[in-house]
Amino acid sequence: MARGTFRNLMLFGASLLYCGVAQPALADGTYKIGFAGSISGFLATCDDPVLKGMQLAADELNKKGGIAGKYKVEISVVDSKSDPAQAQVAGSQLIDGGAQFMIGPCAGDIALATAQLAHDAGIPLISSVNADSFFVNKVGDGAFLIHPGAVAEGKALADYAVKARNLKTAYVVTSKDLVFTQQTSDGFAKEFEGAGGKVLQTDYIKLWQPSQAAIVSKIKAFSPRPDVIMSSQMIPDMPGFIRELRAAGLDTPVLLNDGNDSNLLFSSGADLGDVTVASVALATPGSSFAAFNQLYKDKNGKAPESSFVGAGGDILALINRAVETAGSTDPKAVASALAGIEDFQAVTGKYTYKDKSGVPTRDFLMIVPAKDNKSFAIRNTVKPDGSVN
Amino acid sequence: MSGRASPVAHWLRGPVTGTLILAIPLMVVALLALDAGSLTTTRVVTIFFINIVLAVGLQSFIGLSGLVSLGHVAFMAIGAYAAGILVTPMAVKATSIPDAPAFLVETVIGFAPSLLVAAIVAMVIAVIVGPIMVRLSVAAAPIATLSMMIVVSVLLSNSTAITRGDQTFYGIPRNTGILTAATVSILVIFIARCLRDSGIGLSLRSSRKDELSARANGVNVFWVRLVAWVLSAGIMAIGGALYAQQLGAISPKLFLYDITFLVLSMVVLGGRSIAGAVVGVALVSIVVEILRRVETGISIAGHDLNGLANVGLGVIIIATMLLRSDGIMGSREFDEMLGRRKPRE
Repeated sequence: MARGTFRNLMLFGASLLYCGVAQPALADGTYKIGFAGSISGFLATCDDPVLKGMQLAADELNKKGGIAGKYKVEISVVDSKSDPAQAQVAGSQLIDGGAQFMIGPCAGDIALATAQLAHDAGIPLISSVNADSFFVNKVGDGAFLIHPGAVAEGKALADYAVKARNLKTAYVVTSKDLVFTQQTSDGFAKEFEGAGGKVLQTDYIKLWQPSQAAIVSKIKAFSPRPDVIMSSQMIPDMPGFIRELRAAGLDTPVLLNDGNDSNLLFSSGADLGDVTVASVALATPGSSFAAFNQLYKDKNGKAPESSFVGAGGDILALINRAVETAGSTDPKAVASALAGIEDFQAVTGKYTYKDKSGVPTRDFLMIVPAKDNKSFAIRNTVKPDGSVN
Repeated sequence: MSGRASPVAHWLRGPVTGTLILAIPLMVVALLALDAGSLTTTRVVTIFFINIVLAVGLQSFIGLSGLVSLGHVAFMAIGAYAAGILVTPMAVKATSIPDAPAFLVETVIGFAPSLLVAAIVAMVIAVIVGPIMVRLSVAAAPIATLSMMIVVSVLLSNSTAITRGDQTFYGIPRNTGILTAATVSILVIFIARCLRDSGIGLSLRSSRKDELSARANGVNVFWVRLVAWVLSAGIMAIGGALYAQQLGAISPKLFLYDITFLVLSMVVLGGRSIAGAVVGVALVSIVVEILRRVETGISIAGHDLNGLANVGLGVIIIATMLLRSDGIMGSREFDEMLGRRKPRE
């Protein structure tokens, strides 16, 4: 027994030595991107499609000579498993392996765990589709989002409500469960009231509930009837919420946060009625995003399961642009170039980072159900300055 | 002249020898990892030592009492938040938890005091809930302790002003390094061995074997279980404090089923002794680390192997239960095996 246990300890030691084996040095002409997102666990729904988009974009770039036309892209993947301890290990492994740019998980403490390591190592990092407006402040220099932030999204929804729809009173249904659900409703309330509107009531709910009947009953009984319901929740809750609202006879306009710009919103089969979703990416016919999706379909035999695939394409396009501008692969120079990007067309839309410390300014598309009740159409565009087209 | 050792010295022989037998290889591992110098090794080995603290903490209750607790991670959460809040710089807390009581925002303590405070807070709570939990039957204890974990998680989620609720509590200084984690784990092993080899530990083990006989022989089962419950809560809280200061950012959802399963599997695999907990942590760490490295980038018949590490962990547990239901070490400690003496039961 003692011998068996001793053998186990020796195995552990061997494993540790294995962990410490130095990675081979990079060949010249290679640009190594470390992906520490979560391809298993609850964050896989956002990180996995981002990775697929990155891999597609990397293949396309490599056909043209690679990043900046001269560095072959190599994406190393270590699953952070939606767990912050594993995210630290994944980040460490990628940094040890020579990553020159890091892609972190999309949310919360798990994203922070990797981002702090990258920050300490002086390597720029994009937190895949993270919408936490204050993420970059929590990490420091070298961290970037590709989403303009949930606060900006809430403001855009308010600008749309007031300027395009002339809606004056609002009932807000939101959740403290996720950073961005609360930040979106906070941003909405502040901008809405600043523009002369009035938030009559704010209710906080728990996400991922089988039914939202209780909150729907409360809204129905509420007096006076609000002009608009602003709801910051996520799929899979949202289709049921809308269905229950309409079934209760409430035809009030509803504003929804980003993340609901998915065809899954139509999954309840009910007529959504007057619903508007804030989005940063809609693949309209003829757009670069639609072309990217077609490329994905040609290669994989099926359409992308999420708009996050396009976000993966955006990430590669932004890195490519930053390395081109920097004229080198030096991490500091690349981070600095990325921070200065202005009016750059990526896959899903245009990006400007200048003067925004890692959080881009982007147009928000206000999208509504198309006549077929199966897809979306753009109704308005809200510019970063709050103007509505 | 060489008279018999004093009773205390005689009693300490087991804990000291047992701790030393484990401490020497653990310190070698720590020093090798430091020498290797890579970030990955540093993280993996630091997590290994934190897991030892957690496994030994859980073992101190379930290994000795025979009651299975599925809720000890609640004490880890309490320790993580208690330490995390108190070590975080005031400037960060002023923006992250501006509505917290002023003394929490303004008080900032160091690494070592934070471990102590975390343990004390958890032990106070353990004293309050312990009289209920330790009275439960073997069948009722798992579900009751699991319920306790859920209650604590919900309280942490809803105490938004102090914990930031479900949102990440960030800005915790990353004070936990390999040497500090290794030192704390060895200290915790010694404390757990002292409990195991004490009269209380002996009474606990006798009550685990046959509760009625133990009671008939004068063992106050309620009292000895309460002592182990409180001490193990303190150790779990220290593990939580180390964990928070390793990650730098925490949220309530970290302290639920995944970490419960991980720590419980280490304890079950190792056996009912303190050495067993350490061996369980070592084996699970090796297997998880190897599978984690294998699973990335490999697919079979078009299916990625993501999550292979968790599957491997499950298979190990099932295999151990089939082949060695008492775990690898059973009830034995290394010093008892080397000295060819049977465990005192």
